[in-house]
Amino acid sequence: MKILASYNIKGGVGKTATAVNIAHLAARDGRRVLLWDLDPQAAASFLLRVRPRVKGGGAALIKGSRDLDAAIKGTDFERLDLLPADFTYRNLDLILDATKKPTQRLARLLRPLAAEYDLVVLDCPPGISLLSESVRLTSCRNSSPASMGTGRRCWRSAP
Amino acid sequence: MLTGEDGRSSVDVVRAGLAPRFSLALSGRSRTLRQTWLDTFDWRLYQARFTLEHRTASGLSDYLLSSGNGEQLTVSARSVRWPGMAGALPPGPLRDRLAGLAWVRALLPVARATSTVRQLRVLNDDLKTIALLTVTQLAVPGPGAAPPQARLLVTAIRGYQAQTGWIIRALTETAGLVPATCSALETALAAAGRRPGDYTGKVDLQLTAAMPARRAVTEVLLQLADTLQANVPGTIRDTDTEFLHDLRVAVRRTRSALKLCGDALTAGTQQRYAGEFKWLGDITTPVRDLDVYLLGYDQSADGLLAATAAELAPFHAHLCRQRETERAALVRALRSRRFAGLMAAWRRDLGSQAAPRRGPAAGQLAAGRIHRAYRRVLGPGSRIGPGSPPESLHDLRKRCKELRYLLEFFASLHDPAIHRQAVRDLKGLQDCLGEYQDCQVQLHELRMFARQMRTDRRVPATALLAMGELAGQLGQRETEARSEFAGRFADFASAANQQRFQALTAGARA
Repeated sequence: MKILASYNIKGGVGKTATAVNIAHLAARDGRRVLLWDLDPQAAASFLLRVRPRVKGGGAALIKGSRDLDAAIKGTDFERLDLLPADFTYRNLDLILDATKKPTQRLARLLRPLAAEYDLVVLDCPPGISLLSESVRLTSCRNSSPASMGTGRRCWRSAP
Repeated sequence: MLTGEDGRSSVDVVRAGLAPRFSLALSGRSRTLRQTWLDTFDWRLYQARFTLEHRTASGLSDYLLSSGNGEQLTVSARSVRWPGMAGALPPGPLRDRLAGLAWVRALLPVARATSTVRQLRVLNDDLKTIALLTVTQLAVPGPGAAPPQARLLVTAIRGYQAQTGWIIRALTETAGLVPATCSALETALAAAGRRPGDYTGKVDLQLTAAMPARRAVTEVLLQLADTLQANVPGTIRDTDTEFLHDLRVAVRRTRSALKLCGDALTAGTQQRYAGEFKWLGDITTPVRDLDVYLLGYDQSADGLLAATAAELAPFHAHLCRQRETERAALVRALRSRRFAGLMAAWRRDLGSQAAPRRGPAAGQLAAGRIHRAYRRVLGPGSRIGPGSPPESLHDLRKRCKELRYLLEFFASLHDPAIHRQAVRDLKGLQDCLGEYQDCQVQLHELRMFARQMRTDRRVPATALLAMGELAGQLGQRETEARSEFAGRFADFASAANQQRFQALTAGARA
């Protein structure tokens, strides 16, 4: 299972569009894909028509009292599943900070899904935080849309 | 899977059943699918709760292997001819899984249907798909076929299982659909006048202890005649090696039934047919012996240490040539008037076996014959020691087969638990004796093949050397089987097993 994160410090640069489109294309090409909408704005969840609500909120998922597996929703696209956003994700930094080894937490939560998915795409909120540090350590590749001075968009990939 | 009460299901009925909570959206255009279900002759996939379906439509030719627990594997393949082996499909997980299920048996079409398939999406207020509905209008070809039957498959979308439960309740309670009681395969088979699992190589009879022995023996022999004749077309066409094997087993069982219980039939039946069934058994032996060689060939070649598989290849070619020659003779015999006459007369005679006014009951006959057959294994077996000649083990193997067949014929008269355990211990002994004799026969034949091949100048000396290594393998297996005999026989002759046989043969007359 590969983990790919769509991340940028800035908002409005196309992170969600990138994440959703990459996830959709990978599923269309035959990969089993999970898109995790980590952004409390829930744009990816809305795009895929899934209500942005996780039972127990972000705390239940991050602390492990609710399995990730139980919160996953199928989308209208074959092989593409979504872990929807929740408004409580605005406090993910605080929730992560309260756990042991917070930067390794996301990777640990995703590990049981390794047999079920070929690719996990993380749609991250903007900013520099404990969550972004955890995402950086979890993902094998970050796809980071960057806003250029000319207004054109380009892509920068970091291992 | 739900089906309409009137045999039809329409989009309108479904839409009305789900409104106002959910709406429906069509997903693409309806399409016509031609479906062919495949299985082995002895229903190995069905017995393992698998179905293999070949779906064709314009631009589509897919094989779908699905299991009862929801596992599904697919592969696309065109121009595969059936009957054929699983290896005819493209490499991949489906082929690997199928090869394990089908073993050495060929896959053959067992049912066909044409379906009109339409997919619908059930949407919630957010227009999100929460379940998929597949409406299939199944039409089975053939005269007298039932009218098309509509089937509706509800597939839950992950995370919306609760809503799917509501949808199923709404469709059954409001729309009047009823849960399907049989699969599409079973529907297609029923329309063709068949049922899954309608062939088994095993003796499968419900006898009663009180029924006249003659009737019981006749029923056994009639079922064996059915099995024998069911395997003739597959043997002639050489669909796979197991048609001949099952045919041979049916012949052997017939001969044993005639020998051990033939006196329960009308006078002269035993004498009239014993010779003819021996002929039938004999003409099948050469091909089966070669089949055993060829089925184990890859394993033998893999076990070579000094020689290589390539050096052994001329031996494989020789076996294939021999098999073609022997098979031609077998096919001639199975198409002969002698064989047709034998089976016609045999069925006629079995059909005219009137139950006698006086005579033993089936329970009494079974107990007596099993008791005698058991003593014939126990006595000679206990006298076999390390220095006993091979013939004593061969004879014991024959007596074991007779006992096994009697247990199979009269299985329905026995307590299933005691019967199962008794057969298990006997089977352990038979496996050991079988391995010992198979190795001896194969060694004997290997020497014969080597002599035949030596006269062919094209055969290199390395092939004969590789065959020598095969002889070494066989010799080692033979020694191992011989050393295992004492332990296996001790299990069979144990006090616990003796008690089981006493229970099975209670009331037997010596």
